Amino acid sequence: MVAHLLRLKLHLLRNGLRRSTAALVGMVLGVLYGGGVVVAVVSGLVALRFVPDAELARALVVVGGSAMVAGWALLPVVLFGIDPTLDPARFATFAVRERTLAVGLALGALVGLPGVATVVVVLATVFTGSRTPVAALTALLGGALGLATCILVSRVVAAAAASVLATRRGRDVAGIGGLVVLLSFGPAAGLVNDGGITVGGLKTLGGVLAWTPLGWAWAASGDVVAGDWAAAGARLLCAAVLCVVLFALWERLLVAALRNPHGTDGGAGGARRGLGLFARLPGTPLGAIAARAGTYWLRDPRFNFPAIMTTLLPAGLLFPGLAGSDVALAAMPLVSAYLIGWGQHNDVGYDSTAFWLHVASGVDGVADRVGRLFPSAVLALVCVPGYALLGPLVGGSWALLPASLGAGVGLALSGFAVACVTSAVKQYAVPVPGESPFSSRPGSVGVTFAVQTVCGGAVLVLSLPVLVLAVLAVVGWGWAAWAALVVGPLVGVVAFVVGVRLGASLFGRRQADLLQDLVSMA
Amino acid sequence: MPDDQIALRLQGLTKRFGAMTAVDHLSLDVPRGSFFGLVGPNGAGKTTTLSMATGLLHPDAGSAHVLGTDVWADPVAAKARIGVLPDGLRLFDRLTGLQLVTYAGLLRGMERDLVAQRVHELLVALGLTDAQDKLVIDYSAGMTKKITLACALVHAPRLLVLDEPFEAVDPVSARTIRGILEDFAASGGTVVLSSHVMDLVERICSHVAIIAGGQVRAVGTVDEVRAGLSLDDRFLDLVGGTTDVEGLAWLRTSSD
Repeated sequence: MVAHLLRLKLHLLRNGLRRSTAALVGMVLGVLYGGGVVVAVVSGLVALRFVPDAELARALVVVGGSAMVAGWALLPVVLFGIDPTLDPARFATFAVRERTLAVGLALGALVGLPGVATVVVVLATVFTGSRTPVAALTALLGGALGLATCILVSRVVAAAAASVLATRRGRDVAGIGGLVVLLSFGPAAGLVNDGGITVGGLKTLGGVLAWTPLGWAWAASGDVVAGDWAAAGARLLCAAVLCVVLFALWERLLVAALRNPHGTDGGAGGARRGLGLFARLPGTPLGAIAARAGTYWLRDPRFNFPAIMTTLLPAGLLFPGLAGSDVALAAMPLVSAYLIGWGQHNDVGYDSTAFWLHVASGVDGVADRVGRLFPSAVLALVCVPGYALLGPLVGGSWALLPASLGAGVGLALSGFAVACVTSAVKQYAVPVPGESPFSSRPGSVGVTFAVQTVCGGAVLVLSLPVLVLAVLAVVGWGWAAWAALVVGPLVGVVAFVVGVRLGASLFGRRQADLLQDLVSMA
Repeated sequence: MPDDQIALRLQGLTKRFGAMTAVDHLSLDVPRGSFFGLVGPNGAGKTTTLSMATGLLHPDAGSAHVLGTDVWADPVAAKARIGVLPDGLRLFDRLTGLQLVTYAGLLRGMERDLVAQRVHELLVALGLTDAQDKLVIDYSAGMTKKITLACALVHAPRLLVLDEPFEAVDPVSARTIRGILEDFAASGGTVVLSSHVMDLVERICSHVAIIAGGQVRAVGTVDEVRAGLSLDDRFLDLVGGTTDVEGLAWLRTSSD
C-alpha cells in the first residue's frame, strides 16, 4: 500500500510534467537551481570531514540541519504553497488503513525535488560525521531521524495549516504568525551586517540548537567524536521520541481530515442581506465588476489573506528604519505600492472558469480591466500615503517625503498598467475557489515564475524614471525629490492609460482563449 | 428555410484539441421559435459545439450566426441576444444568489432598477427567494442550475443555449425549469439544449439533432428524426454500440 502511494505521487509528478512544456521548463530550472545549491552544500559537508576543528564541523552540521528542519516546516506555508497532490482529504473515500496512509503520505513527501535534495544532503552529513566508525554509524542514525523529523514536521504543519485556515479567526492568526516570521528576517539581517558571523558565535549557536528539537538528531555524531557518549545517546533518544510524537500527531490530524474532509466553512452566518457593495457602487458593468471584486476581497481567503500580508509586509522595514536607516523608511511606500500594483497581474486566474460570465456577457474591455482594480486601488490609496507619512513620523527624513510619495504613486500605477495587459494575455494556475490560499498547483511553477518575473521587470522598467529621481534625492539632490513627486504620478498615469487601452483591446480579442486557458487549468 | 426564420446557424464549425477533432465541419440550422434538442453520446462534441456557438470557444474554422449576427465578427451584438447556461464551469459562487443574478444583469449594461425588478421576478418564478441571501456555493445542484438559468434570462435574450440544463436536477426543479423554458419558446424565443436523456428530449423538444463524432447524424423535427421508432432506439441505431452486457457474472447475486 505504501508503495502504491509512492507510485501514485510519482505518476502525478510525471503526468503534471507531461501536460505542459512550461511545467517541464519549471522542473528543469528547479533541478538546475536546486541542484547547484545541493552540490555546493554537499561539497561543503565533504570538506568539513577534513577540517581539523571537529567542534566547528559539528556546529555547522547542527545549524544547517536545524535550518533544514525549520525550512521543511515553514517554507511551504510561507513561500511555496502546500503541495495538494497527496491531500489527506482526497483519500477519505478509500478503505485504506489510517496507519498505512499516514506512513505512505509521509514518505510521499520525499518524492519530488525537495525530498531528493534533502536525502542527498543527509547522506553527505553521514560522510561529514565519519571521523570514526562509531561516529559514522551515529551520523547515519541521526540523519535518518533528522530526515524523518523533516518530513513529519512538514506534514504536521501542512495538515494543521489546512484545518486552522478553514476558520476566519485562524487565518488572521496565521497572518500575524507569518508576519512575525518575515519581521524576524530584519534582525537576522542586522546581525549579519553588524560585524558578520564569527566562528565563536557559530559554535555557541550550534551548542544551543543542539539541545533544541531542531538540532537533536544532527548533534549526536559530533558528541561521539568529542567522546561524550551520554550526550550522544540522550540526543538520539530525544530525536527518536520526537519522531514518534510527530508521527502520532500527524496520524491524529490525518484521521481528523479523513473523517471531516470538507473542512466545514462554519455554515456561513446569515449576516449578509441584500446587495452589499452592488448597491453602493455605480450600476454599470464597471461598477458591478468593482463590486464583485470588492466582495471577493472581503469574503475569499485567497484574496483577503494576501491583502493582509501585502498591507503589513512593508512594516518590516521599520526594523532597519528605527535602527537609523532613512532609506529603509523612505522605501516603505515603494515596497507597498509595488506589492499592491504587481499583485494584480493574475487577477483573471483567480476567477477560474467563472470568468465565462464575463465572456458570455460581451463585457467591454475597459470595464473589465478597470473594475478589477477597485479593491487594490482602495488599498493603495490607504497604504501608499500612509507608509509615506509613517516614515517621517517615526523619525525619517521629511525631505525624502515627496520622493517616496511620488515613486510610490508611480510604482502603483505602473503595476496596475502591467496588470491590465498581463491579465488579458496569460494567466497561471492559482488555488481554485475554496482551496487553501497556501496551496500551490502542481506542475505550474514554470509559467508562474515566467509571468511573475516578466511582470515584475515590466513594472520596474516603467517606473525607472521616478526611481532614478528617488535615488538622486536619497544621495542628496534636493530638487530630485520634488521632481519625483511630479514625474511619478505623470509617468504612472500615462502608463496606466496606455495599459488599460492595450489591455482592453487584448481582452476583446483574447477573452475566449483566456477562458479556454482557465478551463484547461481547472 | 429563409434566413430571417433561423435563430442559430452553424456553418462548417470545426475544433481540434491537439490530434483529436472534437467538432468536424458541423453545420446546423435552428429555426426560430423552436425547442431544439441536441443529443449525442459522451464526447460527441455537444459542449464544444455550444461553446463555439455562444462565443465561449474560438472555432478553428466555420462560423456561427445568431439571428443573422456573426458571433465571432460582432461578438457584442450577438452575445446581447444569447442567454447561456454552460455545463461544468464555475460560478462566482462567493456571491449570494441575489448578488450573482444582479451581477449578470449589470454586466449586460442594464439599468439598475430594471435589473432589480427582473431579478426579483426571476427568483420568485424559480422559487429561490428564500435562498437569495445564501452564498451560491451553499446551493444544491438543482438550485445552482436554477440560479444559472436566472443569470441567462435576466437580459431577456432571444436565444437560450443550455448545456445539460436538467443534469443533477430533482424532478420538482426540473418541472419549474421546463415550465419557464416552454413559456419562453411559446412567446417566440428559441431554446437550444443538450442532453443525453432521450425521453426528456422526446417529450419537450420540437426539433432534435443527433450528434456523434463531432458531426450531425440526423436532424429535423422530433417525428422526422425518430422515423417511427422511439428516439432512444433511433439514437442507438445511428450512434451504434452494443447494449448487451457481457461477463460480470460475479455481479449477479443470484449466482451464489
